[in-house]
Amino acid sequence: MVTAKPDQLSSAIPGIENMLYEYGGEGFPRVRRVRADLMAAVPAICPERALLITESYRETEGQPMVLRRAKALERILANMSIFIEKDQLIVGNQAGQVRAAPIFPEYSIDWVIEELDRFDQRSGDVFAISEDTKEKLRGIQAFWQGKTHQEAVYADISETNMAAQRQNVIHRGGISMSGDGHIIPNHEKVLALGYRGLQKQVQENLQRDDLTEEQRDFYQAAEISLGAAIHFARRYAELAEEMARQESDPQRKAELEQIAAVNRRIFEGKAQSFHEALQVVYYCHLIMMIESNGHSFSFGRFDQYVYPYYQADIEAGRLTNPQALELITLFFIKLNSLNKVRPWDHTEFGVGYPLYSNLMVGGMKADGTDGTNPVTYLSLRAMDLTRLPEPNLSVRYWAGSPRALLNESARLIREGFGMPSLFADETVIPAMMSIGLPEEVARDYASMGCVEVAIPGRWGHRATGMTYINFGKILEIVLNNGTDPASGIQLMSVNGQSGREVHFNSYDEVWEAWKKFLKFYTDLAVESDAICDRHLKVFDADPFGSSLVDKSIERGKTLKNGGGEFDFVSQSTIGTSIIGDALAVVRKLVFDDQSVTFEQLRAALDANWEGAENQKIRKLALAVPKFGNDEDYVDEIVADVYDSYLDLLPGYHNARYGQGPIGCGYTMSTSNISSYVPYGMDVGATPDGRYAGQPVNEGASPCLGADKQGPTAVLKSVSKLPNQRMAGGQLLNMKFSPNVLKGDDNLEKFIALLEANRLLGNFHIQFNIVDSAELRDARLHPEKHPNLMVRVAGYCALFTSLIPEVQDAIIARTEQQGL
Amino acid sequence: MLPMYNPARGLISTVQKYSTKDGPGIRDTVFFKGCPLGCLWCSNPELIRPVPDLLYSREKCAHCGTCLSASPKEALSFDEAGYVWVDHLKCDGCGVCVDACPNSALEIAGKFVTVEEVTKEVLKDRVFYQTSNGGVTFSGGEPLWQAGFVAQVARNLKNEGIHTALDTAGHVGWCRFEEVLPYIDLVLYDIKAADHNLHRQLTGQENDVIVMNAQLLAQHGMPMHVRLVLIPGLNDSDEEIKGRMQIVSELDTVQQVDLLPYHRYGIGKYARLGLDYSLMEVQEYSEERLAEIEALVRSYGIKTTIGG
Repeated sequence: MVTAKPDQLSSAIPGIENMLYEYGGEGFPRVRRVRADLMAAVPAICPERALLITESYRETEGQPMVLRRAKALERILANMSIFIEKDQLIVGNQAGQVRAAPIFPEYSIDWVIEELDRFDQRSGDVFAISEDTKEKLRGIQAFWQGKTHQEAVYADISETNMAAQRQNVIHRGGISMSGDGHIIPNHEKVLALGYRGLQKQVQENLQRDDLTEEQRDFYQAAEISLGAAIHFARRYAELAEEMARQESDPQRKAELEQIAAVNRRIFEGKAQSFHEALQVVYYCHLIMMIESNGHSFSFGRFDQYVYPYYQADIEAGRLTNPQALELITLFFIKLNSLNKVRPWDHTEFGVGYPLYSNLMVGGMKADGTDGTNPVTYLSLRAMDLTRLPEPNLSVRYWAGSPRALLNESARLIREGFGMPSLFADETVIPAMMSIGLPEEVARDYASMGCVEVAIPGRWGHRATGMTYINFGKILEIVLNNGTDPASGIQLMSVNGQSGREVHFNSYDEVWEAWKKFLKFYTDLAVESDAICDRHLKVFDADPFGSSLVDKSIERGKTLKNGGGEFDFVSQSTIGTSIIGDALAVVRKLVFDDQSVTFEQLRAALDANWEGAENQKIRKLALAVPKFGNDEDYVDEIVADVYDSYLDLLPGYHNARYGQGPIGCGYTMSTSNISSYVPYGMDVGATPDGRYAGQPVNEGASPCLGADKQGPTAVLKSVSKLPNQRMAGGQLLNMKFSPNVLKGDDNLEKFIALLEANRLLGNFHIQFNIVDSAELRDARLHPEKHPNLMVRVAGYCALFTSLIPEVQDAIIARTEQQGL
Repeated sequence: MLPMYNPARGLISTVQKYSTKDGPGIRDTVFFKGCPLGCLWCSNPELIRPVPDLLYSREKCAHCGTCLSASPKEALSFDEAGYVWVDHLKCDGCGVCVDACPNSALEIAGKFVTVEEVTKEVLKDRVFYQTSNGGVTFSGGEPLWQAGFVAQVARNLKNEGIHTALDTAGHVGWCRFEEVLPYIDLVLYDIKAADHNLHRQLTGQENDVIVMNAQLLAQHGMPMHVRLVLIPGLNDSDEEIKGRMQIVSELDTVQQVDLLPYHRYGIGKYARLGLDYSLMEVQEYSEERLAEIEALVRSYGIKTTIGG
């Protein structure tokens, strides 16, 4: 590694086009120390929040839930233990220790108690837990019986819906047992007004004499929550003052005094410095993650809203570029001190301790000009220095992006830790307009989580990932006349008969059956969403988080109650490519060529392709064109699969329809975290040649190993999908061998590939740059690869923290070679 | 065997996409089958014969005999060890046995294609050529054995404004060059040895035609990248390198010299073709030795790359 030269950096920033990176962190010793401390911290379970909220809920029984939640937040923020990490300049902790996960019993507690003895035995996402903690958590279980979100949801779920879950078609994910998350605050507004300014708006509204009871409750709750947040910052000011008094090192003493000063006055109005601005952004994030245990709380267009504070400090001579870079880097590291624990069966769907906090830079501004600025580049540089899973760094690019932005992004991608992911404005903006957003609003999009997009500060909860739908299982069920071969459950049939015998006379009949079953299960999933949402409105009432998003304060409603300006959700649709590949085989072998009968094909699937005759059929199946090779025959069928789902969406609304927000409809998303692995485990052999239990495809990516023509063909195939209708986000993950990007010449070609990707109209692209040999070695010798970070799906995680099945799927993802 | 020469029908093995070593930018490379040379190190031995070839992977074979009965020309039989033996005089590459084999132990290298098919295939990647200043490369084998076919595809591409490169070993009559040159932007030109006798030992042919054609290309003002394959101990003595660079330095349209160090990626294909690989003892280059050679070549003042 080459030493970074801060001076060089500062002189390069003003003339951004020629900014040269030198990778490595030696120029920033503090960053190295803070990062090392973080890496040394062991994820653990922290009982503090659980105990405090239990105390508070005991006292507030019978009061409106939104008020109870505000009072609980106040109790937690006032009483939880706080600390300031060594060498850090950004403060605020979520739990009693770094990387410890708090418990949120109000959403669900039974799984916590059931898994108490297994948290430290897991094959991935391990959490240490003390006997004392176990004891404390067991002690509160009884109080929560009959009071949790999960119990309320499951009391309402219909028998059919539960059966669809047992068929493994539907997975309710986090929303049935945890908070929702997926909020991007209006940072610009918070930075300008402070929590005090928001609190004043709330208080003014409280004076209105036309308030409903619901509004009055909300305003009171918001007032309490914002006040609690301000008080929370004051606690850190006092702690920093105390620590400064005892500090003997004069430099650290000065830093602690600075921390105290920032936290003393923070939120009383407009942020006064770049340091304070970052601290404001961090507090918003942190407190939302104490208020609720959702995930994907995201940062929106970070470089846009912090830039004025950076610029003011630089112009006044109060800040140098190396200092700005160090602050951003410390902020990034700090984000990794937060954590979330999920039940084991949810963990499989998103492995690697993910929080999915997306931070977006670059791209077109609302006025149509380019928004790239020095903070854009500093953010990329900070990510290079940290190389940790959070934040999930994304770059927007378009025709007007400076070449330097692509250069810097490509160089960072080449480093091989999966970031940044890239979003193409020319596709995402029309996709956002396709659901009715005006162009200048759509231009302000940012990612919220993985690849799902939203308008920062103006969007309700949950861009994506309500109920998950396993397309692979639906197809298996269709080919078995509505019966799931694994569970034996049949909820409807193709031919009106019970039992799994079915015959199709034409491809059209297969296709019609697919559409019929897709609608049946999507209806169930929408019903499931509505039930979860109905209860999240109560149990996930978030007066703090809602106050940070436009229209909530104006309307006097939480986001889940219709407080957002815009409100669209999407389910996570898993297996689009594999359905296309499988249907192409059915169409070609059974109907076009008539080389195999439907009955022979299904017998081969039943046998999981075993036996000589079945192997012959499998060979024929493998020879049928596969998605990802720029073959129109199959690419068009995959596009049909997308259309079959997209065409259903106008018929669906979410629970806020008619409650105020614009939209309240559904969008399509292929953001599916690591669910393609566990969902694959549930699906029997599929006609494309896949064996039972193997992963289905990830996002919009080709099936594992199916793309044999290299990266250009993959991009071409994906470009034939209805990307401009994918307002919920389209995920494309590619893996490159490191030697393909070695040297300037190859980097140029890689950038040309990225540009072509944009011109082709693809939505998003992200990369793993790591050779299979290294991954295999890391699988066997995790101790040798503690820092190996990889792209899982729409997010990054340390490879060694993943469960083995997901590790294997990442190894198997086709490694693109340049020849 | 006579070189196949049917301008309406091309014999290719594959169209390789995202080629990054066969000329500028991102390219599609069309590999033509059939070559007048027989270089000892050839890394694409399946491209030497101007007819389709059947490749057989012993390790995948279950010795079931399905392919023997499937072959319409009865071109297959078991040898004494129980492995499939291909009679290349009978085999016409129809591919029936390939489809019949349950274990995918057989594959065909070489398929006949039309000008329209190849044109359509490579035009699929037009956007990548645009963003990378790339294009299409005709390689092989020896593409000029199929000059009439190459010329038609290349003309189609020129009409579409796409950059074209010809990767040739040059051992053909000049008339073949004349057919294609109007539609070619860049020639990648192999010079495998400077010494006549050495060239014959290594490739089966002397290099006089090759050197003459290189000079004619330069006289026609054709931009060239000269490619020097390097085989440890065979053609990499200082004298040999200097000899080749002497030839290069007299060609005033050479823009770049690409050093192609010996590699063994193609070795598995020899076994699958039933051919012996004669360079088993040769080791790949150490970085130090390669750097020495590179320094020597660079001393001629021409832009030099390793690998192109």
